[in-house]
Amino acid sequence: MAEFLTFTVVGLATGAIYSIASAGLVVTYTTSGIFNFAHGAIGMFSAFLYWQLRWDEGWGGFWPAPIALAFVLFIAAPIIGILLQLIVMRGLEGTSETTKLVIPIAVMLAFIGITNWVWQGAEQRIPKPFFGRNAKWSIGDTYITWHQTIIVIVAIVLAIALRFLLFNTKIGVTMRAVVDNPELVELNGGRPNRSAMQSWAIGSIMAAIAGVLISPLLGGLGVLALTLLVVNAYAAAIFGRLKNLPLTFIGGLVIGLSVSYWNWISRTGQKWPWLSELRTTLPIVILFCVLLLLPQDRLRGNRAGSLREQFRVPSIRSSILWSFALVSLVSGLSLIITSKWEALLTRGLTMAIIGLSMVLLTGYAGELNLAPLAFAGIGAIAAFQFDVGSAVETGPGFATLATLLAAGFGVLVFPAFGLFKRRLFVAVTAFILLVFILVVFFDGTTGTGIASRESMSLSGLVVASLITASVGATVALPAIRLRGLYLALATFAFAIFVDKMVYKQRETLTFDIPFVGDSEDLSINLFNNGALNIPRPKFWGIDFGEKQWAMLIFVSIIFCCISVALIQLRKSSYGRQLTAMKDSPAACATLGMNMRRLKLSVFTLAAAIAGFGGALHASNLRTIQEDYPFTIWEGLALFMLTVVGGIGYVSGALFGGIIYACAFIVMGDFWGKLAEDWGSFDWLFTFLQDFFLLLGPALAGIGLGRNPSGVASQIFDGFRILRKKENNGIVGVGSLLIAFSWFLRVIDVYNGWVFIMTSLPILFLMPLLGEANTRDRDRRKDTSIEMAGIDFGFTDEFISFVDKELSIPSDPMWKESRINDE
Amino acid sequence: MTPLLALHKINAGYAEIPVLHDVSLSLYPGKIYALLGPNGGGKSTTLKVCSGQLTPTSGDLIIAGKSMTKTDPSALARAGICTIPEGKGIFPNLTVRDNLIMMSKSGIPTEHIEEVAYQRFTQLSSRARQTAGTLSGGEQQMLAMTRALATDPAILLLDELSMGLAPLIVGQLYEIVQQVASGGVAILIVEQFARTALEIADTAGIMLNGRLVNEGRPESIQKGLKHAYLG
Ligand SMILES: Nc1ncnc2c1ncn2[C@@H]1O[C@H](COP(=O)(O)OP(=O)(O)OP(=O)(O)O)[C@@H](O)[C@H]1O
Ligand SMILES: [Mg+2]
Repeated sequence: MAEFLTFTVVGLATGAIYSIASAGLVVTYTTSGIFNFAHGAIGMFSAFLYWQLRWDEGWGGFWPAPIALAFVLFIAAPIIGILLQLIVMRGLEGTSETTKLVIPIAVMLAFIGITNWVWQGAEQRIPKPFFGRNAKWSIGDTYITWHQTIIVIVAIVLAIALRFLLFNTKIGVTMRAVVDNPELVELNGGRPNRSAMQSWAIGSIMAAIAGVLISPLLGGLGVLALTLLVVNAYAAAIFGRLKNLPLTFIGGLVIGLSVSYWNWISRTGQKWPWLSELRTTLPIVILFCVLLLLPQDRLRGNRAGSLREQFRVPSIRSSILWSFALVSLVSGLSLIITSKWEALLTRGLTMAIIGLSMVLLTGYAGELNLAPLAFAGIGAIAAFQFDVGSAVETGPGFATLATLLAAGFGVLVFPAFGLFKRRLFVAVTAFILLVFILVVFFDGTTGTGIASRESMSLSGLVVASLITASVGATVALPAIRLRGLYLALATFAFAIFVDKMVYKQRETLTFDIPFVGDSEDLSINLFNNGALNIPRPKFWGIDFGEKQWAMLIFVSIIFCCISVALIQLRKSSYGRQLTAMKDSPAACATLGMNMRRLKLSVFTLAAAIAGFGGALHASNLRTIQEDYPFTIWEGLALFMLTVVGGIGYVSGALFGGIIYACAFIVMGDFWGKLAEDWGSFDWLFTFLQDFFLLLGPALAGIGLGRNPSGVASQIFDGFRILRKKENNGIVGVGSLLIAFSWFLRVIDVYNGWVFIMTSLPILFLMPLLGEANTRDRDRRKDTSIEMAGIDFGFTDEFISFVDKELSIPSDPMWKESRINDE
Repeated sequence: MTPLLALHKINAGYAEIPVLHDVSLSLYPGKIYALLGPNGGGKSTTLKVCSGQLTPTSGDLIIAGKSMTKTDPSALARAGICTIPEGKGIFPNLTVRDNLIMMSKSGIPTEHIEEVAYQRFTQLSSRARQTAGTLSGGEQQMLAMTRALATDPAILLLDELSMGLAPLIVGQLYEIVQQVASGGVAILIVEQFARTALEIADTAGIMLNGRLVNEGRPESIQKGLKHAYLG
């Protein structure tokens, strides 16, 4: 009984903190319509700040608690909130859900970056509870610390105060009105901006309170741990459907108590260590369940056309041309760059392949997925299990599994391409046969012999993507009715789950497939010893393990193939259905489209691509660890950068992958090297190095607000002008100059830097010159309408131009009569 | 008499697309001006210029003799311009009472607004805690009109008050408009369906392709109306 009480008290205290944190989330959401992913990070940052002022032995330190508290909660936190609103969130009006999600994620990464930067080093930072560790009182045998008591009191007071503020004061009502209709608030004489700043300040204070209160309950301050702790509060916020404060508070308490009781129960269970590990993911599991069980909003028709993002569809011809350009560029580069750069580029391209899965799922179909790297990680693990097979004990099991997976994949995905009944049957059978042949004839089916193989096989990659596809379908199946933010949160929950439960899994799991082999067809040690060594591929006599350049070119070809396939897909009737689903799910439902099947198929397909890319990425890196490179944070960063690049385009994925894998590292290296060379400016260059390494991605994400369609398309648009005939000369000369510079580099006349310094300016000068040239010609061509028929003929083109200018609907009668006249 | 609100040679548009060309009109205290015309003519755009929601590319917005061209809408609202925009001028996710509280942003105490609302529209008093979005179309428009009645504006701008409402309710609403006008308020009403609007208007204008093509007494406008709509 005493034990029960103790765990109840602990649960109530943490639950109360979750309640506070989630109430802050609800406040910003109901008043700005933005789900503040950075909420946890703000709490984390505040906890660090408080520690600095109160406990650090160096700077700050030993401020009296009330002053330190007042500073953190009532000066720092509101300023953070107001600045966020002023600089970042204000620009989000009229953008899509994706952008509204990515920018707070960028802010979160920025806070993580800043905190890592300011509070560097592995030093243990241990905040103490209020009134010390020993300040406690008791009920019977159960001790309750003052810290716990304070937490619960603060939570209750805040709950009442917030409720009162939002519903009974003019300030609160205005804050809620702003979400509904900011224009009308203005017409009423209110100031939407001021009101939004107030609500962001309040939200940020709530995050800070939660952060400061929770930090002493942990062993010591940890950036990611604290951020994730507040993520636990998401479940509570969803429990209150992001608007109901009392329900949110109850949700927080329920989560706190469940975790605490789980600890109590699983403490004794040494038999399944992973069960007690579940305590860290329990709130996430609850989040997932709450998302699934709560009644969803009715299908909402997006305000089509009013969004600021616009994506064009490139033609097949140009996509193939660009593919050739990319592969030849990469091949050309591989001749002149060092293998370190080759490795970086390869990494970027494999990441870009993973990014393609997001282009399909989020860019084309409008479904948000925050777990791209969780799927990639599963692909890598599957490839490892299959190819290296350190834990796969019997072969037939795996062959059967592979064919089953192939069948499932076919049945799920093929109908989406318009294959039904007999055609479907034929296609699925053919696909199964293909996979079976791959697996059986190329890899054999028996024994642990695979373990001795030292290279990744094609069938390994295929099976990896099939397995990931099946996981994708399994995740999508329950989540299929979720949309937008809710779907994003569900996938986020899944990503955290994979982070904590799969990558940390050390148990050997055994499965029995009926009718095949003996009782243990499949025994898998998912992530043995915290690192998996995955070999490079080797086929057609090329050993990709030895030749980094070969790997680079191989990967670039694969990227191009998938890209062209995706663009083709986008143009097909399947692609049009996806776009329709993205633009207006409500309209699609009324048109009688089967949205469930569509969603399931696109999820499955995207997961397959992610799994494939993940296996390639891992094989390129040769080894993956539990904390690199497929964690939730890296996933968020990749997602964000792909959106920055333009998630509606395959080029956006390319941009995202390359920037993610190379750009910031290169920039960091660059400044680092300068710091070495110029000792006296060391501080400046070190600063810049840290700046780019820690904050680069986040700042790129925050910049997205200005150009929600992404930068990749902008760059391509810039080059579009060069396709005009009159600019052929410029293209020719420019390419020749670059080719010449490349040649000089190949024969070692000068080094890589000179090559870059000569070719980049030429490359970026070309579109500028082209534009000037075209403008010049247009000016000369520009003749007034009155001269029609005199200076130039009445072409159809000219007539439709005039029609458009005068907004006259084109008149076919007129044209006909003209033809008759002639 | 000096106009309370005057547009002087306004040119305005959205992004690159010009919509209004040289529009000038004046609103006088106690008078109702009806702006009529076919869809897409630029009526709502004109109203947005009056309320400060759209800054004109050239021309002047003059209020009580002072140029207020670049003033933001919330300041204009506090200065006594009451705008009820196209569609519903309410907050659908707030309760009726919260909507009334929002009206007090203009400086009139909430108690007074509530009193006027519940007296005037008795059916609202029993729905004070209902979410405004779940009210019937007529009730929503009544709620919106409460602002015109209770916040004591000097200028009232109404966009398509009658949209989607039964003739009976439209009649009621226009009675209220007339009553407000008799208190000395300058009123601009924008309408698709001319008949009711012309009945109560003192002046009417027809807007076609962003130009004010005809302006005058309602009777004379009525004659030219068919021509304007049918081209
Ligand atoms: N926010 C906007 N962005 C771009 N163009 C707009 C916008 N609002 C209106 N327009 C355009 O301006 C023109 C005039 O629109 P306006 O709403 O003023 O017409 P209206 O006379 O009120 O028509 P209706 O009777 O249908 O309400 C239309 O061609 C419309 O397409
Ligand atoms: Mg209109």
